[in-house]
Amino acid sequence: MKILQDNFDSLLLPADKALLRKHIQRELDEIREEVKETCKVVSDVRPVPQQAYDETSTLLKRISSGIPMPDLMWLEDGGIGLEWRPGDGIITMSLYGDEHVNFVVVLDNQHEIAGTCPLSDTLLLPNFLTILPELFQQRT
Amino acid sequence: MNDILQDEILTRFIFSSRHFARRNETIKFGAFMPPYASKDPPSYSPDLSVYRLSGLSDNEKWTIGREYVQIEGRSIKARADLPAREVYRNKLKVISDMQPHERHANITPFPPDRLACQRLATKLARASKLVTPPEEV
Repeated sequence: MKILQDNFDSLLLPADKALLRKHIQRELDEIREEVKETCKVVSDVRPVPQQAYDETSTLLKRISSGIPMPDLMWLEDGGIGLEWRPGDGIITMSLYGDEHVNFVVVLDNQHEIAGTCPLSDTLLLPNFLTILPELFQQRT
Repeated sequence: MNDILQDEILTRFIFSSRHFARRNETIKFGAFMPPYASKDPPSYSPDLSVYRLSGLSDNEKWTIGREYVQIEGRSIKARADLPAREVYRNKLKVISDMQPHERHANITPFPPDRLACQRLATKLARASKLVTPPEEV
């Protein structure tokens, strides 16, 4: 089942979309290779399921071109992590291939939000992705 | 009793170049996610391994990493230096366990659920300082 619609920012030119797709694929391929090599030598690192790569790729295509690409990483517990640093704040997301996304936003020592929602969510997740560019505008 | 002072620096050694960024000198939250303790049922280890390296020279710090943390096929790429006060601020403790080195300690207890771990890892990463080796360690 396709959980998310491929929804690149409509302002992007087709050539830019193709470049972005390639960039995302290259990043995820590098992560896949590093996880594979790490699992050969470390027993407590969990492999990342293919579904987590697929969900990450699809989620990234939904993120507005108004913000920078996040730093992508693998997580020792078998997930893919995304991270942005707007000013002195931090925004993180994680995906484990279970059709959910976990997100944490810490803007300073007093203001933070955290939650989990299904990738198929039609209210919370789209709204969260919509406010991301605003967080960058306010913090940078 | 917790004998680790607020100003003490705790060091987490980092093995993946994706867990830090030289570009903006940041530590990524992945560096602070605890490992799984058991796969079935899935549960997180309550402990996150760190070293108490305040007072040592930079060279001595990397040497401890190389001799007690690094394993063949997995080399240290950087370290995250975190003030102990940030651990306490998040209602965590630092417990010395002296193994495999007398300066080894654990940040504990990480909660069992994923989102709570990510929340803590995000805050600890934000409070950490990136230190990269002067040369390959």
